[in-house]
Amino acid sequence: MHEAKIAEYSLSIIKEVLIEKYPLLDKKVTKVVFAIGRPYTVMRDSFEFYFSELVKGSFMEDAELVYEYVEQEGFYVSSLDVEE
Amino acid sequence: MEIKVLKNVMIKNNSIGADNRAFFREKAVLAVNLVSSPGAGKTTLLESTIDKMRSKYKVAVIEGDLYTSRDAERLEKFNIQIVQINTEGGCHLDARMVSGAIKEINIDDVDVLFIENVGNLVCPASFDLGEAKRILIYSIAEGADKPQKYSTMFKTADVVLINKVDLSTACRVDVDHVEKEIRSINDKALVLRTTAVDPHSLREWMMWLEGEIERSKKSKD
Repeated sequence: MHEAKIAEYSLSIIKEVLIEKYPLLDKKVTKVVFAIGRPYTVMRDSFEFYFSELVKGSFMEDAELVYEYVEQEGFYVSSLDVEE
Repeated sequence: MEIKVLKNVMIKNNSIGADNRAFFREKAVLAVNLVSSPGAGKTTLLESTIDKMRSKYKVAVIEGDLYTSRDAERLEKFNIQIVQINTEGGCHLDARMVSGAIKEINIDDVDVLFIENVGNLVCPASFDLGEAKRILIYSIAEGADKPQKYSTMFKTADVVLINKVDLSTACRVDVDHVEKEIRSINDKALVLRTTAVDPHSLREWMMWLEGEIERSKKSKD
């Protein structure tokens, strides 16, 4: 259930990063890479469910979600791919 | 075009948690986060603890609960400041919720703030609330295997109270074995044994708590 909150935080970070570069938020995000660190307390399926609900109808709706597993602690928004 | 981000998602929560912690320090308030699985005895322990200390210290409580205010109602008899947070199904408190609740408390009239988290051995471990100490109440009836199974919660605890130890025989759980399992996960935590049916079992817990409150108060001097 904490995946809902983590999805919310993730979207907030992504928006902050995008607004810095594209204040009008007029570019589509095509891919988001997340890094899941130890301990692996985030369930991918659950996270993806909540995240997909949050971005429905937005500039991120069709973004591919990619996950990497890393040793360091935490859950990270690693990178974004944005349409040219 | 690729944009590198590399930001820890928990930074949002942790940043508010750090602000809460700074606020508690400034006000010389000891903030304690009580975590456990449901039914481990958090509220009963809180009742006994408040009863023992309320003549000496000013106590406030933030009560986390999914939907009800039953725990808060149990504490009303002590005539202390209580703020209820209902998470509406959310499985943990987060720093923002606590930050909001603090605004409803006259913090200048508080020595110790107990934050009773939602009963859950998983999610609350990941959310810093800004507390000075995290107390894990672990019922002996949960068996000896949970420290390994829910290791993050045990790793992040400053104190583990093995509670309801009077039930160990009925539950066929060896308290020494449970303690060994806890120490194998976290050898720095203070591990104590408590039960609501024997008020004397709270003696060490109360001594530790009062020591921390005094330390917190002195830090302002």
